Amino acid sequence: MIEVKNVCYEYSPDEPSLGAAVEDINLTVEDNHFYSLIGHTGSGKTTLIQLMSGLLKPTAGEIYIDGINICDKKIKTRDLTRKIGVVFQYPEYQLFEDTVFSDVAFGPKNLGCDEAEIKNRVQKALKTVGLDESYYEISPFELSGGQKRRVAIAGTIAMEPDILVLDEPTAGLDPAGRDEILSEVKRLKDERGISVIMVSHSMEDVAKVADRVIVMNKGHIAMTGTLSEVFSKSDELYSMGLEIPQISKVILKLRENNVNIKSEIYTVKDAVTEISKLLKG
Amino acid sequence: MIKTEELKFSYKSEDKVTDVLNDININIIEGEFVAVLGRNGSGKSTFAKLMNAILLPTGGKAYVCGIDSADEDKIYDIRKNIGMVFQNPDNQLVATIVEEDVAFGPENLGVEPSEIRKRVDWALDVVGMREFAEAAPHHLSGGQKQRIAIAGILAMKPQCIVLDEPTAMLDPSGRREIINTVKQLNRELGITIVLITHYMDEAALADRIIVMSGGSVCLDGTPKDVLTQRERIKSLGLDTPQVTELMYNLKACGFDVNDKIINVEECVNELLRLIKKEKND
Amino acid sequence: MIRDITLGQFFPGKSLLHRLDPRVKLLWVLVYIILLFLVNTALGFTLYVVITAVLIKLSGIRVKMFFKGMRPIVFLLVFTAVINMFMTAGEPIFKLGFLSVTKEGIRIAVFMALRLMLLVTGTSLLTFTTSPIMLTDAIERILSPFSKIGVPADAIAMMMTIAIRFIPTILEETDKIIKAQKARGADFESGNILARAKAMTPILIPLFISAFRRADELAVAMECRCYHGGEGRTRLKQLKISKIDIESLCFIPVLLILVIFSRQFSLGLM
Repeated sequence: MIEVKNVCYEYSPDEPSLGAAVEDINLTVEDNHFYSLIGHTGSGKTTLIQLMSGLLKPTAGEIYIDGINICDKKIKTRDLTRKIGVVFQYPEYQLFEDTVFSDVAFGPKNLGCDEAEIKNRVQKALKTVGLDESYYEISPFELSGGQKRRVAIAGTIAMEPDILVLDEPTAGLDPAGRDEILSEVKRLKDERGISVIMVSHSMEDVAKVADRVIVMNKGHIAMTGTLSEVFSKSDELYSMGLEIPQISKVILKLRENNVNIKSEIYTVKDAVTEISKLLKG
Repeated sequence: MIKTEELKFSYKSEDKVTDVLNDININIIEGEFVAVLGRNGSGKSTFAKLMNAILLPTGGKAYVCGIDSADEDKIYDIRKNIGMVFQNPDNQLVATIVEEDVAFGPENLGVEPSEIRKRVDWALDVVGMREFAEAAPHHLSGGQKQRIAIAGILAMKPQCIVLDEPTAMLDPSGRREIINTVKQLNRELGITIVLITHYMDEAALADRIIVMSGGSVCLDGTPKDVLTQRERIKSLGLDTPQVTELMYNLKACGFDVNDKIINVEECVNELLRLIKKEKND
Repeated sequence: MIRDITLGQFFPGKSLLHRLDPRVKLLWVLVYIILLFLVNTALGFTLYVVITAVLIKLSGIRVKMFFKGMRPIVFLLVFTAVINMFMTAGEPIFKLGFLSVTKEGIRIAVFMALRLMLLVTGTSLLTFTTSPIMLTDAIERILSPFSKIGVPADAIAMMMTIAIRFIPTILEETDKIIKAQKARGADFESGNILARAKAMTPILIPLFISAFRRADELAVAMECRCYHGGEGRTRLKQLKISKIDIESLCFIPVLLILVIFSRQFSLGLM
């Protein structure tokens, strides 16, 4: 569980390009939930992720992971990686080893795991992202873009964190590649009972996998809640430059035309069920 | 505008020949807005690079504005008429000041300084970035940088612009900026557009969609014809818009619906018609 | 650390200094630096500090920015000052164990520090008021007579432009990669020099790969925009020597005379 209390972070005012500041962040990330973190570019999503994973120290406020204050100077980033694992945007650009296996092994090795444990973890992680043994000895640089992305994600999964953070894991992938990664992450969350925080720009993807949503706007947390609590406020989302899934727009329009259908519909599957009900009377 | 005859492209590496494109026959006419879809590695980007003689065909012919792309003497006639915009806005801006970057193309073409000035101001006006003329590119957002890249191409006064996944690295509002700009270029300035994308909603805006798979063209038609071929589209690793998916599923449930639907308005109207009919029965 | 670098930063503006032709500014900086090394008296340094202060005022750029530019050389400043203070032979003022501080030592230490600070400030005046593009244009023009003997002036200028353009991008990228590897438990802070150097591999390899990829993509993008070297290339902004440029050049002999004059006045202690 992560508790963020009154956290602020300011970047140097002379270099606006390095990221957005955040202000007065209060947030609780509970165990065993799939969170989606959404917001306009520059709303502070990446800053928040870096703060929660100890890569940035807040200029004010405190952050606790499982009751431990991570802002404490004695806490090392390395020790935090057991609790919280971060996959950054375009993570394939951080690959550096000669083989897929050794690249994924980098994290567990840093954690001080022994040979057998490393092997076990790497195998499990690569299996999770759908890469079998035939890939182990291949250079990661010979893989396709989507495969590189999986290797990079496996590198963090192999550290077996309690909370997995993914910053736009599907950016730039084609629809099939996108769906594969989403379902792999979802399965991992369900099997291991960990929490996932996923930054996404695609509301369709959010609706598919997440059960909780955190909305950031201009360095503040604008909304948090369940999927339907957040998506029901479509006007507010619009004003922050965000959208709702296309299917929800259809439902909204139907309701405007006095059709008696419930508003909490965010996936095609639900829409089909509800509309069928309606049509069958 | 662009015509290909049995166009082939393959490359050699370590005595292995890899075919990227096989026998592409395409005719893109003046003023058309064409979207190209396909999985990563389907040959879309290679196709784009063949259109402006960055790559030369290893078989067949590509005619651009009536010029054979293999004609080395006319290479700059081709390139100034077929502008290219790439995925990563950072890697296509050359200069440290916005207006200097926009001027880069005309400078290379040897245009008179006073005329360059006019073109730069005009191009920045078209993309709505005039007020940033003296800004440094690294202080701009992704969408803004990409608009500068488009302005840089516009300043060469091309007849056609090929955009290779220009929105892949942008957030929803950045995507909207770019897509609105692209539509405007096509509708108001009559520039032929070839838009390579992974986003079905962007493709739905085009006059025509070409779907590539394994180096060949496998679907070619209006968005309505192409996107509603649900089984085919899915088997190619692509996606259909959520509204199309909804109609497909309703039809599969036995309802008498028109499943040739690709946007929200059509979908709402069709559903309202259906509901009304149901009430009357 | 990465964010402290102001080197090569340009502040757009319309001041007198901004309007000067970059070639004239380059010449001025050269003269400024050469004469700075001729200055050897308190009067001379006072003169230099006053002139530099006036120029900063003229540029309209906040003084803070100049001090920020000095941050990377603080260590060098202190180091040279200390060395000079203790290592110069002469009349001792006080002793610190076997080390003695001499009058001459203090004098040289202060002068050296002043010289370094003025040097950085003077060059900052150039880079702060001149866009990198103008600067590279100026260098290209100055070098262009040598293109006949095989100096690729336009290619050099293009390389400089691209380097300047990509410095912020690469710095940002380095920051990202460091954070990404830290998130995978990489440790850059402990161990001996060898261990630390080895720990850099996970940063350097991705950085190199990314730089090559960027270079490749940029080259294609430039080709698409019809780049084919300097031949037949025109420019949006033409460099023109105007009246203020000529007027400013008239001050060069004035400064020269003042500096030579100041060398005659070695007052008291200093």
